[in-house]
Amino acid sequence: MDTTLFRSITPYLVGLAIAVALYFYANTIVYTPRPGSLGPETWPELAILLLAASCLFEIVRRLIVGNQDATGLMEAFEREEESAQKDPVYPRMLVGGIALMAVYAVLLPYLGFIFGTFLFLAAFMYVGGFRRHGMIWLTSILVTLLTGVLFLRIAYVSLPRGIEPFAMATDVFFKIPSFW
Amino acid sequence: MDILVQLANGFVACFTPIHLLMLFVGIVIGLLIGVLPGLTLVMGVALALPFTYKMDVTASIILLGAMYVSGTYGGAFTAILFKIPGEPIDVPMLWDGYTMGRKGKPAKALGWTLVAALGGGLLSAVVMVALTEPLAKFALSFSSPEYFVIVMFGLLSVVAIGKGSLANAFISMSIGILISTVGVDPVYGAPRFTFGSPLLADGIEFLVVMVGAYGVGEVLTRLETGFATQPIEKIKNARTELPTWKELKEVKGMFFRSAVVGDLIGLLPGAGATIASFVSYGIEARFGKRRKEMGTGVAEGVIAPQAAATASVGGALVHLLALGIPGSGATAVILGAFMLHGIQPGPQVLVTSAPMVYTIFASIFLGLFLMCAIGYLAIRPLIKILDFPEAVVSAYVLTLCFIGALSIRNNVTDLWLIIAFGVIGYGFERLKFPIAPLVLGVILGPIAEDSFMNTMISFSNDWTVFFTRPISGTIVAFTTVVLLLPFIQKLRARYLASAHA
Repeated sequence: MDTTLFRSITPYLVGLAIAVALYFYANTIVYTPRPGSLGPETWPELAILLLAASCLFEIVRRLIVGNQDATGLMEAFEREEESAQKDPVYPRMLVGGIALMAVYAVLLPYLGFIFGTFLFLAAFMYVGGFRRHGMIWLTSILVTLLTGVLFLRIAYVSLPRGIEPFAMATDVFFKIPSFW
Repeated sequence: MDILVQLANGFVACFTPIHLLMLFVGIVIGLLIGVLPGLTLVMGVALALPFTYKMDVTASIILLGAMYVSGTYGGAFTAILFKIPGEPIDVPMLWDGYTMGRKGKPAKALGWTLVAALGGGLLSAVVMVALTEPLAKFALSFSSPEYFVIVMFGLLSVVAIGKGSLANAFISMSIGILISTVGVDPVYGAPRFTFGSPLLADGIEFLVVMVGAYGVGEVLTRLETGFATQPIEKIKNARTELPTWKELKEVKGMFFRSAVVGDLIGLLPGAGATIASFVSYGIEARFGKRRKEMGTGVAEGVIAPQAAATASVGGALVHLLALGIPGSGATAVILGAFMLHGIQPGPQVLVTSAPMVYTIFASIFLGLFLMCAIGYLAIRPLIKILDFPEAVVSAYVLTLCFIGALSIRNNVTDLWLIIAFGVIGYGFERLKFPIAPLVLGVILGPIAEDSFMNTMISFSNDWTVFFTRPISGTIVAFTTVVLLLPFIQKLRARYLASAHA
């Protein structure tokens, strides 16, 4: 089988495998049956069957017609655009961005929302390829302050405080008089 | 008459400081979202959701509704002036709006857009007020089989009327429904797909899926391209020049037709502003009086997509409020806002919360005028936002997404979930799986399951009941037609191609 075709059906093969695994898992749901009533596994099983059938359909379709994306109803109303140029992609930036979010989630309980978000904002702008240092730090400070006031003092959203000494950054906001 | 009295009361209720403030804020943010190419309308509405937690439900919906309306208009500015469609809705605006601008008439193109948005929006608002109550009264006679097929109709329309593969849309919807089943089953109390995790026992909040897939996912997609927005040329005198009365009279027929098309498309669950905009332009290009000139910068090419896009909003709100069925990503978020405040839109909402519904209706009317006034007077500061580097805007968008996650239960696990759904959303975008069916599956899945199980209990597990009862049978037939539309369209295209050959 041609590699491109195999690559194009891989997501559907994975989907099909997940559907089979989930179907068996759904059958292990423990409950006390009621006579004449369907069990709690019925509805998820219907969704799993739909998932499996859709994956199977797409695999068969691609095997028959080749590696061709299907089109929907909307495409009929679209006009042919002048040769759309493809943007270059930067996988490292993407991985960096995801890694940064993961680090943020790990450190948030320790750094607290205010300090953690300030660092995240600056770091994300660097990861995103922006290099105007003054603007990066200034916007990070301003956005953190604005977000803190907006959510901690106006919307009263409960956000992680962090541990000392970082918690001090959050505590400062609670000294601001309440808006309501 | 009763409807008019209630609407008048709605207007009075709109004039409270908090409602006016929310209306103004919603319109401005909606316009900015429309202008910024990195922010989509649905993503913007989803990001605003955490702000509404502490508000009362009417103010929340006024805010989100205003964003929804003005989000269909703001993108036209950048499409006409810079050839940057802020939203997919605005792509048809490039064909005539931008061309008109290149011919030295950008102000005129912006004027036509303003008039089209106002006219289309007002017509659809009138239809919305006229249709919602009768439809809700009719829906009061529905029992669980009818409700189940209506929900499935909403879900399957989103699957059928869209871009790309039907199978991909079905996969996306099934995953959404499966996500909605995670947690303890409400009937038997049995844990489903919790994999032993106590946090999953509470289920996965739809907000996490929505904000993650739309917000974080979109930022990741753009991050991969290095936030490569096209550089924009400086426009010194961006202004709007309204068409004359004579010019308006010349296009009144097509204007009305475009607004009606938009409204009808909005009434169909699954077909939102983008589809309305494309279809309306397509109709004008195929059947309009000046069809041969379309694409050369004619007013008809600007009016058709804009009038239809804004007109679709009123239609979409009809089935959201009367039946509780959101037809698009944006209305799904608005449904989410209702549910966060403990209100389930549907036939009962006009019985229990009529003043709230009519205040929302009145806010749509006021919002349209406010949107046009702001669009007319503040176009220059609005497009100034394009000067902000995308990396800065995206960093702030991510912060809002994280706040959305943390504000649900103040639990970092929700933050992890939102990141995970962001990565899934990015994967969906990359592999060309639509996100709207996933989100709608998560929101409507529990409602569908509930009505399905109730039907099975009430009718002794007889599934034929969905086909044999008159109303549900009709809806099933209609759903089948909608599902067959892509195939019919393909057959027609094949027939036309062979006829030409």
